[in-house]
Amino acid sequence: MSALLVFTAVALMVAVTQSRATNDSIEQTIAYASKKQLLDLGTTLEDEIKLIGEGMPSNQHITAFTTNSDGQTTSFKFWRNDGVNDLEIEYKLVFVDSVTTKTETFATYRMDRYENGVVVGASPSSLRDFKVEPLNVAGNVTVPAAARLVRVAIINTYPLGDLDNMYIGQTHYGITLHPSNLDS
Amino acid sequence: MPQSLQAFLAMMLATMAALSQFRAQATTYEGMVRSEYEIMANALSIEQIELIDLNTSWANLESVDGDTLAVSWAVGSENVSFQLVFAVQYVDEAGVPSGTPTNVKEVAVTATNTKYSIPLVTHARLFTQ
Repeated sequence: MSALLVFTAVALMVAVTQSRATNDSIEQTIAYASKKQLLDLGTTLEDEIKLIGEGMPSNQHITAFTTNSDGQTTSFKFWRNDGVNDLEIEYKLVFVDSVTTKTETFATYRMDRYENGVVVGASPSSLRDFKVEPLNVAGNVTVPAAARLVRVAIINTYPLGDLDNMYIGQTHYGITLHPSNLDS
Repeated sequence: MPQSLQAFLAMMLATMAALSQFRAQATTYEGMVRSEYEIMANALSIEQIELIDLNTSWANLESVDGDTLAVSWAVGSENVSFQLVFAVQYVDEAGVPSGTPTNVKEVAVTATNTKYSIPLVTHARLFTQ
């Protein structure tokens, strides 16, 4: 009898530990995938933002910058030449869904990338915050004509836990770039 | 008696294995959180380096040596504070610190947060005369 009790206790302990380890492993994999998605997006934006105004006259660098009431960048437009064609690039933020957890409700977005008015790429649909902001020499957000730097800040979200007890993890990306063509 | 001791030993081993597993998971989660802080700190450090590059001549770089600055990652509902410390020194072309003036200066920005006892990131850039 006592042997059975001991066996039950040990087996239960091992089972709970194994179950917890499996759940944590799944959550870490989801978190890693979300982080990788965001870092890939960030790298793509970095490579392109550095080329703002490349091969273009000075009045065709950053041409539009709009935000919504939450401070998200809803549209960021600029020109660059890819060696063959003049391209008007736009990063446009699109509302996807409203997410409710136990503690808060927030919106998720997707960033669509346009080339000359045609969608040619998009981000994951789980962005919580998206900012691509033109900065002046003092580091303050400014109008496109006065921009010398561009700040990028993005937060991507991923679900954790089970359906009845879900919470949200967040992964971050940020950088400030100095496109050389903004100096002219 | 021996059987009781063996049973006790079995439960002890199972408990220690579970504790070890949970400790490893907690360490992993701590690492994940720290990496997010490092990304935020890196973004803020790079911004300060770019502002120094835009606004400070090579001759006046020493003016930021020893400066400290409180900055925040303020995105959406998040507002995480960091402390930046600036250091400027002469280096050679390979980035090795030099005791004598050279034509290359290194500006380093170190970011810390009260949650961590050691600096999160140090971002350095070389400026040539």
